Amino acid sequence: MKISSKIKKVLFTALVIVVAGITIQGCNSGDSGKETPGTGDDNTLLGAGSTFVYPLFSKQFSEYNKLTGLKINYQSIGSGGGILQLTNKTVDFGDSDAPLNEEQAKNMGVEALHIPMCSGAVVVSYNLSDVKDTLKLSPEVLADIFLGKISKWNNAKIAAINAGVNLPATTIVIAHRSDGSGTTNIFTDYLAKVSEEWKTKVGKGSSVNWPAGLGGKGNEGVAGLVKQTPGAIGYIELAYAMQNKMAFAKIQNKSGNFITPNLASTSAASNITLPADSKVSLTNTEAAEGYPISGFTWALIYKEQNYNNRSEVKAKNLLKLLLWNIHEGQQYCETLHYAPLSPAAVIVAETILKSATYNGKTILE
Amino acid sequence: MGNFLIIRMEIWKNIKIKRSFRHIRMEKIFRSSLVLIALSLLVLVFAFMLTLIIQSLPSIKTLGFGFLYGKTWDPVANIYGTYPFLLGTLLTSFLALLISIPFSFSIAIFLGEYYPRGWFSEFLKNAIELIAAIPSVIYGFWGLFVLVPIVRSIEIKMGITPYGIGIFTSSVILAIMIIPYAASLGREMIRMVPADLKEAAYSLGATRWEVIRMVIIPYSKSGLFAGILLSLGRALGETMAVTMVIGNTSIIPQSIFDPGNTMASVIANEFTEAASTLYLSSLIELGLILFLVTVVINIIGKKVISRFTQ
Amino acid sequence: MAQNIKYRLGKSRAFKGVIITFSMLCTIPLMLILFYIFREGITKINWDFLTNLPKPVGETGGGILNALVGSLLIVFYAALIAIPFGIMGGIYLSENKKNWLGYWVRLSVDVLQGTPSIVVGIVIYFWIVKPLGTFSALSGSIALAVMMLPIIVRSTEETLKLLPSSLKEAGLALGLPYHKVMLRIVLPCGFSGVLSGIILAVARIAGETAPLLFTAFGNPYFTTDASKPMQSLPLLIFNYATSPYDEWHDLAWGAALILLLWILLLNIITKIITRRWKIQF
Repeated sequence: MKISSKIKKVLFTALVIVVAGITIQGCNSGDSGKETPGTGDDNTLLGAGSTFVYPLFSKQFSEYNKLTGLKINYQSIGSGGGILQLTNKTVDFGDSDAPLNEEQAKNMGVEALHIPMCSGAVVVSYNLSDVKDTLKLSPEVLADIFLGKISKWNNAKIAAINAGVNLPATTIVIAHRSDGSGTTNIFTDYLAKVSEEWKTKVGKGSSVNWPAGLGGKGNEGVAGLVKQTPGAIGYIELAYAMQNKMAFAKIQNKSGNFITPNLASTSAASNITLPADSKVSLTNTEAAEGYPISGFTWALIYKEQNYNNRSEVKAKNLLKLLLWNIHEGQQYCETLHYAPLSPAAVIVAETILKSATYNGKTILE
Repeated sequence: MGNFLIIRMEIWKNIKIKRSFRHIRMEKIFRSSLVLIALSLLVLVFAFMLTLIIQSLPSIKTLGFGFLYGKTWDPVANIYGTYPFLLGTLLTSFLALLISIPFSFSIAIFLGEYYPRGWFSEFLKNAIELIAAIPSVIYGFWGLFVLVPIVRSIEIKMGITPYGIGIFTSSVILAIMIIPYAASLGREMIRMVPADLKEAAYSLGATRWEVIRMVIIPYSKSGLFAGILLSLGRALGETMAVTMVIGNTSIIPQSIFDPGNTMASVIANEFTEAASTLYLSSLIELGLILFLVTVVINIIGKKVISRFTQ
Repeated sequence: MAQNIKYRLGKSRAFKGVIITFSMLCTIPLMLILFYIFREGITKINWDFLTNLPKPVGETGGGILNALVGSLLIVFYAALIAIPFGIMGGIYLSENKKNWLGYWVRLSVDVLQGTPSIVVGIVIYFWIVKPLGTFSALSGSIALAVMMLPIIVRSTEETLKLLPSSLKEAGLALGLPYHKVMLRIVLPCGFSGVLSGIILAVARIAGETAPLLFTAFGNPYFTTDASKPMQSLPLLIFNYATSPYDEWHDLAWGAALILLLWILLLNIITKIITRRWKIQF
């Protein structure tokens, strides 16, 4: 009897709560029929996308949370994921290191705004514990390595530009991204610009059919692979390489100089006049001191913020956050090894941001 | 006074009748809710399959059967061939089976025949259950930090590219994970071998090994086979541990030490990324294939067991 | 002749030796895993670890409060959804052994049991996440509930089948209505079996990661709102383990140990229940 009454109680409570749960869910789905905001109350924002910008965002959002109490949940699922989830309207904003391509823009249906957040360098990191000097790589050698044509570290082509460096006879293990990524887009965009063979064989994009190598998920994944695998080479965001004290190569730019990726050389590359829509590629820069593999990362939002019956407060919160990001938020860029936007770029970004509307009316004055 | 009693009894009777009506109604509600829930289980599974089929229609239509034997998976060029993943899945699963079978059958024989009781058997039984209980993400985590460096040092000794991660590593992890399935089922089956059969063999002068080889194994072989099938089903669908250690590359593996990808790991890696319709539906079609294959294997396994036990 | 017997006995003994060695070898990886997780995890766990939120990249310290609470809530909701359905389904199957619906339901339960967890995640994404327009803990719970269902149904069915039919008949003969017989007599008698099935199911799904990737999604903040994305222990372990940051690895080791302890505890509870409430007739 004791047990049976217990069972009854348990069953009863379970049933009640399930019924409650189902009603809540029913309400929710009813709501979505009426197109209420999916992402709940106004005090939280949900973002997803680029892992490239994740260290910066996690710092910026944590600071912004201290300032305003707004909670921003940013999940670094990759630029492709950010675009897809924004298309599915499951997030408030996306972030991508590659501007939308035609198909993606078409899938979205309505106009999306690209707001540059900062620029960063993609570095070629390697794991050679015995090599103390910084390796130098030319565009041809880099393309050959990632094409799988150079397979040993002591290959004559590498040795030729690294005179005096004692290169080991180990195999080169290539690490690349396994997920769709803007970092990959920047890197392959660069390789396609400098190598005809890469352009025809592999092409550029946020995920490509790699001729060789291991895949890691996210910048974290590739950095982890390079760190753990002797003889590995991979491309990661500068911030990841610096934070993890990983070695990375000097890359020869268009002017023939071997450039160490750092803030100055990235800023030099990104110091160009932005077009009005800010969609621009920075790779293989003309600047003599510019690092050739760098690019912007863009926050993506819908131009018309009244969709899914989002509240105006929420839209305003989102825009204020992004406005803070391109102004005050820029101060956190340098410590995390991102190049802040140039004053001219901030003006372009602000203009784009202010073109966002709610019910056709501008949100920010 | 008497009248009052009669009236009270009348009321009481009415209440009783009402209550029994309530009981009957409740009973009907209960029975129909049982049927409803049973039906909903059925509907759930059908809806599952339907969702997968509908969502993968674009890729089924455009790619047809080429999807299965296409050798390149190139989202940029919109080419989707799953041969590398099918190969990767089969390689890891069968390699894992190959590694795990000697162990799981040893345990089955150990617990089923040699030492059905005793503290060590009790310990071994619990240990096996524990192996099944550990979440796969923890296996992956451990594999990444402990097993990968070991495999890497072996690979350096063998003089091949020291990836560390790859098909071999994930097979080893999978092998550990699937031991309990064949082991516990095998143990049950070996226990069900009738004692008189064994005794008859002993009385003819057979040794323990001969009894195991000629009586126990032939008698329980369909059960052991079912255990292998269930292990295989688990290995095919395993996601997290494999994703963490397989290397995630779409190149067709040339040897078992190469990195690769399985169907489940491709989905885990690329599902949130797939921005084009065809890409997404190709991934879902992979899920559909995985679903169908594991379902068929599991059902065959269950059928074999139920035939054996009846 | 004697030589032949000696050879056969030797072979038998050798075989026994092989079996024992292989069986022993099996426990080694388990011991290694447990040892390693304990060694790495135990030093990371302290009060701050359990009561703080993760810090942004590059800052040391931080804890896993959000994942801990999130995991508990997600699993709790999943159990609430799955238990009534599972028990009712189990009762139906134990009562209808031979009819066509019973056959098909049993088959679909088998199908569900064999469904890879990642596939469950995909389907729930299309059923719940996309229509509602947001990732949510609730969608994660539903995905996990789907994975719990077959275990609960099967354990309920098997337990009730073991009970003698005289039990049910006696109840019905006394004029008790059918639902009372089932819920108040038959089910309580099989209490231990049903309960251990439920706890095993919870233990099985507590560590599931794949279905949560596209549903619960993760969240760096503390939340108890089931309609929002929520962090969970397995998700945290997966994300932090594959990162290159040592501080995050530390968090992941601690989280792994806590998850492991939780699952061990559930398994031990199951053992105790089955031992204490052994069905005796």
